[in-house]
Amino acid sequence: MSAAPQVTLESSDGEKFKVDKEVAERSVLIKNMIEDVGESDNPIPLPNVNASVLKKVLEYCEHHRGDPLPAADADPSNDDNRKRATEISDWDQKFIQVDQEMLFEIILAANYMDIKPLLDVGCKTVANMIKGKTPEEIRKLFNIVNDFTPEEEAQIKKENEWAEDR
Amino acid sequence: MAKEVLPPLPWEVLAHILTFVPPSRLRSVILTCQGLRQLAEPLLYRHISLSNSPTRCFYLLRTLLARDELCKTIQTFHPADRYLPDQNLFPLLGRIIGSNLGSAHQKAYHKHIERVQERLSRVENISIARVGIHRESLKTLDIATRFPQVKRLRTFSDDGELGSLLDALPHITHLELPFHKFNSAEDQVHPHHARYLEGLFCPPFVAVSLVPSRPIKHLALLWCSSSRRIHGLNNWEFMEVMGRSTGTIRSLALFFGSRANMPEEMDQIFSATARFLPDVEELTIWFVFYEHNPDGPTRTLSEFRESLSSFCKLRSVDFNGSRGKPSGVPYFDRRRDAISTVYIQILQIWSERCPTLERVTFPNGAVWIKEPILQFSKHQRQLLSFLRRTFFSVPRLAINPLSQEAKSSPEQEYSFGKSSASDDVAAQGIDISTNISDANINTSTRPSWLGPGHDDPNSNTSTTASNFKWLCLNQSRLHSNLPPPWFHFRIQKSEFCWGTPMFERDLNAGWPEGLPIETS
Repeated sequence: MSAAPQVTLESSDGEKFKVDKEVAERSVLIKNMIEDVGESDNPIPLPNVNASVLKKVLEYCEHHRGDPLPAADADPSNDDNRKRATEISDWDQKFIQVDQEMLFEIILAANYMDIKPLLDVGCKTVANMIKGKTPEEIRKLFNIVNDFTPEEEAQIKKENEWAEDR
Repeated sequence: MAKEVLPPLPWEVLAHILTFVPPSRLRSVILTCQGLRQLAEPLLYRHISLSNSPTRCFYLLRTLLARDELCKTIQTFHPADRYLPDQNLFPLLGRIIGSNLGSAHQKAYHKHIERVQERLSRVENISIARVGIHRESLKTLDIATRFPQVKRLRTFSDDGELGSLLDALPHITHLELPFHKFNSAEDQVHPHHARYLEGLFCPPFVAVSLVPSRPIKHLALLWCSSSRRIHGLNNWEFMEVMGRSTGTIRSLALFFGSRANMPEEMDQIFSATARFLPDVEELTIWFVFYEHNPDGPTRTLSEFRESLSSFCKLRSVDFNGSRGKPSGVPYFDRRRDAISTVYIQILQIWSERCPTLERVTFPNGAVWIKEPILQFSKHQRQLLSFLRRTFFSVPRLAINPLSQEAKSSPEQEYSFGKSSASDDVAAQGIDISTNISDANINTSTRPSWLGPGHDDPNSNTSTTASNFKWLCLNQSRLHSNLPPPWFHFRIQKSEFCWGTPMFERDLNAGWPEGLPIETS
């Protein structure tokens, strides 16, 4: 068995990572780049991802290297509820147990590198954080400023009264 | 300035995050800021299903009528009242539930719902009410004509013809016509109608026309007075026709609307079902007159016993209707009672005859769930026993024999008696499945995963573990033959140690075979 083909990725801070092509191609961005440019020994630059995040992302790709690639938006209406189920597998859960900054960085990297399953894991984790939080706590989480006037706020509360948790 | 208000995540990502937030929580998100409100509002107003709360629906209608644009985002519109029962069919219940809404209010209410329905544009799932008390009904066919994209339709209105309705809805996958009086359904249904139909809830005489050569997977049948004899078919022949679905019918619900409709030959219906619908996994049977006739349930249960062994895939039987198609129906919801001794006897016979059976809901609402049989080796039992001793203040123990989803599947959880699920798992519990290894279990010193504590096994120091509320064991890790010596910790008895006598007794008796732990 010959050695698996490898590619080199370069993080924003110049660190180089040599990984199996199969692993790197979990990222649709890299997959497309390799297809466009053809295989070469030149490192693929990832100017939006720093080394610590890239290391983490590659750890994910390595663990999931054999997984079937997600079908491109399969049956969005029918399985809506299933997809929204906030299940995260054990390994992913442990993987994503990082501080909030890292979590957001991973999400951003997954979004940039186009790794849908990782993006979902990150987003589900954040969604779980939102659950059970008051608006004020959510603002704190996302570093948002309340831009509603008190009147607006009262109006919105009234509008969504029907959806209030019982 | 605007930039500063933005969270560090781009909007497209935030929008994606919000799709994972359950709608009941979106209200808080909408209240955070303008930007998130714009993202979250369409999600909150996408699927609206308020099956049993007219009061909430009043509030909803108020909002929708004030804000046109929200109507445009609605894909599912099931306003409350869809299950106001037909007065002819359920006279008593109709009176009781109908009286909750004053008649003037009812009229106004339905006018408002109609006004909202006129504004919908993207709706795919819709229910159309008919109020038994008033004969004013919303026009199903009008709605169907206006929204040909509809995939799921539930209607209580019996205007129009079935043929025209099906003509108008080429994409329909789920159709519920529980009280329809389409007596000539046979002549109106053509082969090109409803080619994608997977779910059907209707009287038997409609089913005869709609089930054959369509991929029906879920079938619910409501016997009402006019359907006692179905086009001259007897029960046996009728079920044979049901078997001609090109899909595999996995769930079947049989509703019997009144005492007069109770077929004499229930046992025949059951055996015909088993014969022609052998793939049924979920069976629901419900009689409206259970309420008046205490003998009814027992009779049905005993009749069902005979045919039970013929169902080879049956997993769930529901005699309460709560898991049947009309979910969330107020008058189908019963309080949950205990399993009586009669039921226990019945259960014993049933589980012998039908080993696949996992869940039974009795007419009184009592639920029985089969406990998975976990086989543990002697060493595993010793380990569990040890863990149970060590963690005896842990209210929940998750033992996960197969998958890695212990935390997310509550059915897999076993309780030590008190179940107080804690959301904050990380702080109060530990998943030892990955922390246990032969290396650290095979030592008489304190394993690291127990956290900092006193090393002297004979001391009375409370371990950090005694504060855990949650513990997960992965059985696959326990497969290795773990050799003694076992750890001996004595945990200080504190106020955490609820139920201590029980555990002391258990400790003395050792870990029983087959791991009978109360389910949570």
